[in-house]
Amino acid sequence: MADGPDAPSRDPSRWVDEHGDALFRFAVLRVRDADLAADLVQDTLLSALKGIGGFRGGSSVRTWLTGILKHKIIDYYRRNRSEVLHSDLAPEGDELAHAESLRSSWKESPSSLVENREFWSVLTGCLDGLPEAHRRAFSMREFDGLSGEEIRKVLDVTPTNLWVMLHRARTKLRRCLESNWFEEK
Amino acid sequence: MSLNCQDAARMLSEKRDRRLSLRARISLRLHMFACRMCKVYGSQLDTVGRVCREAGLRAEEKCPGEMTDGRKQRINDAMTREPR
Ligand SMILES: [Zn+2]
Repeated sequence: MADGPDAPSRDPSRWVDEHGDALFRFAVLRVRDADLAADLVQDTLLSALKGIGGFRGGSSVRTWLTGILKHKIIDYYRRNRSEVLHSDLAPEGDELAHAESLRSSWKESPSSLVENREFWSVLTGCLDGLPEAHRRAFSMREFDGLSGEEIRKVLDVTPTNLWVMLHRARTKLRRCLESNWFEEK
Repeated sequence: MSLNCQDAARMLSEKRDRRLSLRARISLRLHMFACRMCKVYGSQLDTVGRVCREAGLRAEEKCPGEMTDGRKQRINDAMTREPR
C-alpha cells in the first residue's frame, strides 16, 4: 500500500506524540486511574508495534490503536475481577431510586454537554463515586455499548447481578449528575 | 399487580439492557401513564445513556487528563527496547 497522507503516523516512533494523549484520555474515562490508564496505553503501543504487519490501512492508525486499547481494558477487567461486594448487591432498603425532588426533564443536548469542560469534571467526579464493579459494568454498557451478555462474561456475574449493578450505577450517577450539574444550572 | 415507583425505576433501568416480559411491559406502561415522576425519571435515564454514549465516543478529545512527559518518555523507551 502506497504511503498515504497519514503515512507519518505509521512511524511507531511518533505514536506516543501523536496518539498518546488521545489513547490516555480514552482509557482514563473508563478505568478512572491515571497510572493504570498509562500502563494500558503502553501495553497497547507495544502490542501494536509487534502487530504492525497486521495493520492494513483502511482505517486510521488512531482507530486501529483505539481498537487494541479497548481489548486491553476488557482483558484487564477479566484478569483483575474486582470483588463484587455483597453489600453492593444487597436490597436498596427504603431508599427510593428516584428523588422526591425530580423537577423537570434535562434539556441540554449530549453533544453540547460533551463540549463543556466543567461537565466533564462533574461526570468524571460522579463516576469516581461508583463502586468499582458497578463502574466497570456501567462503562462497558453505556460508554461502549457492549451487550449484557458480553459484559456478564467479562465480569463473571449472573444476569440478575448484572442488572442490579447497572441499576445501582444508573441510579447513583443520575442523582449525582442532577445535584452537581442539572440543578446547578 | 400494580407497581410501586421503586419497581418501576428498576424496570426502567432493565429495559435498557434486555427485553422485558409482556406482563412487565404492560404494568410498567400503566404505571408510567399515571406517574409523572417515573416518566421524568425514565427520560433522565435516557439522557444519562445518550450523554455517556457521546462521552465514550468523544473521550479521546475531551476527557480531562494527559500523560506526564516522564510517562511518555518511559513508553518511548519501552518501545525502543522492544525487538522489531
Ligand atoms: Zn412512579
